[in-house]
Amino acid sequence: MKILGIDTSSEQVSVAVGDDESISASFQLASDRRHVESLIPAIELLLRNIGISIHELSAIAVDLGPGLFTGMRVGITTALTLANIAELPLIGSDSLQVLAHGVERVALQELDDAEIVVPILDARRNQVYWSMHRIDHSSSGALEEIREPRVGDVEELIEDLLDRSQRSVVLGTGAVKYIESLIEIPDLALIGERSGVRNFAFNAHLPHASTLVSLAAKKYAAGRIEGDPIAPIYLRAPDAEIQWLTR
Amino acid sequence: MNLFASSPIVTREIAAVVASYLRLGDTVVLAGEMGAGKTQLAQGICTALGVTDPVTSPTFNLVHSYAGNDATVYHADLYRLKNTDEIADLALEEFSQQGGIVLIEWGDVGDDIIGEHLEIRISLGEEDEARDIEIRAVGKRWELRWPRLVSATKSFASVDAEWDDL
Repeated sequence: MKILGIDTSSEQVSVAVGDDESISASFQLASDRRHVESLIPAIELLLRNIGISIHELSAIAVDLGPGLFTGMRVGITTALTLANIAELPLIGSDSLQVLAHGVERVALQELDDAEIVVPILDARRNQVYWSMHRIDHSSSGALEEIREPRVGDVEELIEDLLDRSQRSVVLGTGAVKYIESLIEIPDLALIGERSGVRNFAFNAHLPHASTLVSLAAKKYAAGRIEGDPIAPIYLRAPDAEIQWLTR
Repeated sequence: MNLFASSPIVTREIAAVVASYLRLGDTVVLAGEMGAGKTQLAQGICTALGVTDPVTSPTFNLVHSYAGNDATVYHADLYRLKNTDEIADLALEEFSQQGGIVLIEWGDVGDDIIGEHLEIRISLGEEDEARDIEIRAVGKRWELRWPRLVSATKSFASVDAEWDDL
C-alpha cells in the first residue's frame, strides 16, 4: 500500500508518500504560499525518488481544510485531477484532525496525562477553527473526535474549553497566537510545555502531509474510503443573500 | 470626511493622495452607484502605486491583479455576486494578508466579511463632471494615518464640510 498525501491547507506546501507503518518520502516548504508553483513538482520529486509512478499508488489523501482558501483549492483540485487520471480513490481529512493526530508523531509524551487534544487554527480577525479529541489511554493514546470542527471567536473557544474543564493539550497556529488568553484556563498546556520538547520533527502547529497519510492509510486498511465528499471545508458564517441597495 | 472633485482629473488626484497613505496589506472599499466613478478611483490608486498595465473593470473576472512598485494590487468587483458565500470564496483577505493591496468595488455590501478597511464612497455631484467623495476608516488599522490623510486632502474638502467645522 502506498498513499500520496497532499496538504496545502495552510501557507505551507506539504506532501508525503507512505503507508500506515511508515513514511517513504516527504516534502515540506514552509510559509511560501506558492502552492500552485510548488505542488506538482514536489509530487513528481517524491514519486521519482521512491521509484514509483502515480498509477502504482493505492490512494490519494488530501486535507480538506478549514484553512487558507487559496491553498485548499490548489490541493483539492490537484488531488481530484490526479485521482481522476490514475483512477485512484480519494481520502479526505479535515485539517484539525490532521493537526491533532500530529501530536502522536511529534511528542507522544504530551499525551501521558492529558485528557483531550484541542487543535486550534487561526481563522484571522479574532476567530479560530477548533475541534476536540479525547485521548483513549486504554488503546495506546488513540484519539477520538468529540467535537466537530467549528469556527468562532476566541472567546467562544475559551468558553468551550472552560465548560469541558479537562486536562488539555492545545496546538496549532491559533493556539500559538492566542496562548496568552488560553493559558489562563486551568490544566491547559501548549504542546511541548509539559514535556519540555522544543524541537519537533516538523512544525507541530500546522497540519502535515505525513500525518494525513497515516490517517488515510488507517482508513484505507479498514476499507472506509468510499463516500467521502471531497470538497473544501470552509466553515464560515452562514450564507446570506447580499443586500443590494444601490446596484 | 467629505471631499469634492470638480472633474475626473481631480477624482484621480484624490485617489493618488489616498494611495500615498496606503500600506502593504491594506484593503480599500470603493462604493458608489453605477457610473459614479469607482473604476476611475481604482485607476487613480493603481497608477499612483506604480501599476503600468491598463486597469479595467474586473466585473466579469471578479479579481484582477497588477504589479505595482512595491506591492501586488488586487482589484475586485462584487457587482455580479448574489450571496455572501461568494464574497468569502474570493478570499480577498488572503491577498491582503500576504502583503497585497486590495481594492474592492461594491465592497460596501460585504462589510462584515471584508474586515478592516478604508471606504471611499463616490457619488454624482450637482454638475455633470463633479463628484462628492466621502472617505471613512473602518477598524483600528487607520487610526494613526487618519489625521494625516485628513490634512493631506484638505484642499479637496467640500464646502459643506468647511461649514460643518464652523
